[in-house]
Amino acid sequence: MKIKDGYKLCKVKDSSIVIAVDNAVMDFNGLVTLNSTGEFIWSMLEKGEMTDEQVIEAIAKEYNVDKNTASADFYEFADSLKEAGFLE
Amino acid sequence: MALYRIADINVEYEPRFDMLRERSKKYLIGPSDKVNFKISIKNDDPSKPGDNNSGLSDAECEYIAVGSSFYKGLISFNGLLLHASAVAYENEAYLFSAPCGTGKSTHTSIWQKHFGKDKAVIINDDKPAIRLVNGIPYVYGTPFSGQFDISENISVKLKAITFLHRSDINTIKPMDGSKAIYSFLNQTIKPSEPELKLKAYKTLDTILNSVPVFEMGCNMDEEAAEVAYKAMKEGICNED
Repeated sequence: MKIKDGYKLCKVKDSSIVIAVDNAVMDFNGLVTLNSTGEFIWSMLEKGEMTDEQVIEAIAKEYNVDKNTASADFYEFADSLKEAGFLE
Repeated sequence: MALYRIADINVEYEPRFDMLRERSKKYLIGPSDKVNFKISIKNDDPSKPGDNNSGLSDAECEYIAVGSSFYKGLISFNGLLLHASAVAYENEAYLFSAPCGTGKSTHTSIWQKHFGKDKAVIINDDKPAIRLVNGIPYVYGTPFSGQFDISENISVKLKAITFLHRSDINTIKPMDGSKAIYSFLNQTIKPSEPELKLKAYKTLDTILNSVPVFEMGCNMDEEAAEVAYKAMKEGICNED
């Protein structure tokens, strides 16, 4: 799973905003902001070098939760990224 | 070509019509070797707003087109437009933003009535420029100030920003961070170029980290000015 190159996270005050920095990707209407967990996962998906399994392990470790919980949360977040068109 | 110094940026353009020429006059400077950017005005600019809106004269089209070029250029110089009425009081700038027709100008005219016209000065009634000077946001008057030419060629340190909506009673409270971002982005120009976009977000980040943002329901009573001032100056809100 990898975030499309045209999207970047931009810190504005306490929010992380997803912005389209490449004209090749669609400029979406409205504003997408991520919380700190979303930001953590986004940063791992940005490079696209990690497998789903590795990302889930990292989430479990970072937030001190079991793998099942981490996995459920990860796929829920991934679904919303996919829906928004942010994934390759 | 004529050279103007707007928001401490040297901008070169040659007005063809009196409207732009007259409103730019206060910003005219002598020849300088330093031109920060140039705005070219084409006779047959296909993108001129008049093509889609027959209600505008050529002079108005020129004024609007040069204005939007200026505000787009401003982004490269750590600046942002905020669609707002900006009033200076006690050497600090208070910005009131809202969609058209809400009563931004009405509210700042209440400040003038309440605090005195000599003390509460309108910096720009519709489109002030905010620019970071050593990382600190300042509000500048510009030649571009909407329907009426109410603007001064001054710069004043930004104190606070309030987004207005109409209400029977005057209530004010701090605005939540992400709502402030959303509200600001709705009242500025959003460039499509990636570098400019990133730059604009960086400037917005600095602005929102530097000054408080409020949301206010306001009526047209003189009390509205006092309620806004108390919150923006002293942090005393009448709502949580």
